[in-house]
Amino acid sequence: MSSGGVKDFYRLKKKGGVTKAASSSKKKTQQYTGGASVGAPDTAQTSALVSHGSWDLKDDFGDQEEQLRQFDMDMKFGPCIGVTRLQRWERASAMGLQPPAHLRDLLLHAPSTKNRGDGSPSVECLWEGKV
Amino acid sequence: MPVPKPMERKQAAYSNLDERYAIQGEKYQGQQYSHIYFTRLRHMRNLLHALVPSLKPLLPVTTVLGLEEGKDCILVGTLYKHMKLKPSILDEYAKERSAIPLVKPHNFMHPDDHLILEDESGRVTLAGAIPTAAFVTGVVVALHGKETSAGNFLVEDVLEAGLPPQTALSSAAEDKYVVFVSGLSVGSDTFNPLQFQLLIDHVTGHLGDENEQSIASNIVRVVVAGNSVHISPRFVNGQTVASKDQSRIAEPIKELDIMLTQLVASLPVDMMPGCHDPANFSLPQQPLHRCLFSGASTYNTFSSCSNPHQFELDSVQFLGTSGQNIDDLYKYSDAKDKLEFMERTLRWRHLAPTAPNSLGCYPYTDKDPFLVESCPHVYFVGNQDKYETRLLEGPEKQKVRLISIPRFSESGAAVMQWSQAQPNLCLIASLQPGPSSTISNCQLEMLFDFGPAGHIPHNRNGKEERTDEIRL
Repeated sequence: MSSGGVKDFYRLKKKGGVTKAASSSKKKTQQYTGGASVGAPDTAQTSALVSHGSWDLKDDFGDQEEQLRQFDMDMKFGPCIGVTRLQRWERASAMGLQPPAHLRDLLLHAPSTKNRGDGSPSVECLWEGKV
Repeated sequence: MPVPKPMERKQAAYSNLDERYAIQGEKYQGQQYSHIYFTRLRHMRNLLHALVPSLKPLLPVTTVLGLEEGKDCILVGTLYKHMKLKPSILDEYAKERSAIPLVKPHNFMHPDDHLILEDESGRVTLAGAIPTAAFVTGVVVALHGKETSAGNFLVEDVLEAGLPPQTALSSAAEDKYVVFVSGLSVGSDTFNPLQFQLLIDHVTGHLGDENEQSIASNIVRVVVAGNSVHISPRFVNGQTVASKDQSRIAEPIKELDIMLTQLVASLPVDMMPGCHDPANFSLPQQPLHRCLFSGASTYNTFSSCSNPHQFELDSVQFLGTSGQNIDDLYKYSDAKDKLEFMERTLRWRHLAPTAPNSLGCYPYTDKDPFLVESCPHVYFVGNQDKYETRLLEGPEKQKVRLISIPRFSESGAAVMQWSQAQPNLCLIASLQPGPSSTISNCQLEMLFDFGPAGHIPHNRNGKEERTDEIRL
């Protein structure tokens, strides 16, 4: 796995261009159960950059995912790790914290993790699979 | 010889309020305990924000991050007590593993302990007029004070939520009793089957003359508050059990079931799990499975309940635990007696503030079931060292009877609570075999009859000795 060295991390090509590294790290990420920590020691660094089997480069997700990430990070609604975003939204709503209503619609129509494409909103929180 | 008139046992309207403690619907997704602390802080903060203006008007309420040096304000957050002697999970990696558990002190307090207040934005060390020995991690309070130049928060006053509101008691005509017993420990060395049988006979009305029997007919319920069995530690310490020993593991439960069957045939019984019972470890403990009680569970008077247990009998609200919450408070804080710990849990409006810090707890994501929303009329704790009781009065006319139930296997005492119109009356019946230790020679002592708060206790019947044979 460390055959590529540093070059693998700083590739300029977007995801899809690297097949060997992506497939083995995808296998690693699918081994976890619920928010437990990921991967063998020598692939730890690669896993940190990988999200759901593809490279997680900064400008690679849409505006909707950005909004959802802001929702995850907002401390007012409580911790985000360990619950799905929809559950967290429902909890916040039940407590009277008035989370933005349009996010709920986003989450209800979000595709499941398996067939997610690029940049579409995720059902799970931002840290899912990474911590 | 006149035929004695058959006596009928009194009935009471019972409703079980344990739904909040059921874990059946919960699905574990790998979450941690941060959620339970969040819901606790959120709920208590709403309460405290409502109370603060009436107690400390004109003072601004800020978050930890919004503190300004020298400015008087109110902070609301969760307390964390930094304890030097608190056992850490990392110690297990430092020390060698041995079969004998390391000797632990009963109480982990140390003069160097200090309190820290934490909310979502940050934490701040506390100093000043806050008694560190009285508080534990997990309590949510409002503090009045100011930030010092050293970066600490100098506390001037502590505001607890106080006793929750209580529903009024409806006055009733008849006397009805509830018997509380805990720590039966069937299967242990200290268990004396004679004592338990005496208790059963007394409660079912097979003991004594008409006076005793009429008292027994007023008993409407028996609540067994935990630790009913004691399974020998050598069977459950991870070593393989020899096949000849395997059938012996369940013997205490079978024995308990046989004796319980006598009890349930006569009156309703609530069975709560305790720390030594075959139930889950973390709170809330789920009801013991009915397969353990093959005899008793055939009766509809047998209810297996959760720990903590909440129920209502004829509009009297009861709430209690098998002792884990109070025992944990005893390890991490100081009070003059166990009743004071119980009083504090009511004032903090939380049954088990040390959960999940030092007391095992299920990691709920959207609720904290230990929050006490309405004040019970009777608050009981099982498996304590001795019997104690007090009537606690609140500022809004709340009246709570606090009861600390002693371990039956050690004391031979069960507590009988007069549940109707005057919940402040409490009798204790101590059943001990007499000097010759036979069932035909036993003493039934009715000890104290506590009048309304402030009265001197007086003996009710004095000691009564029964030397006739007991006819069953």
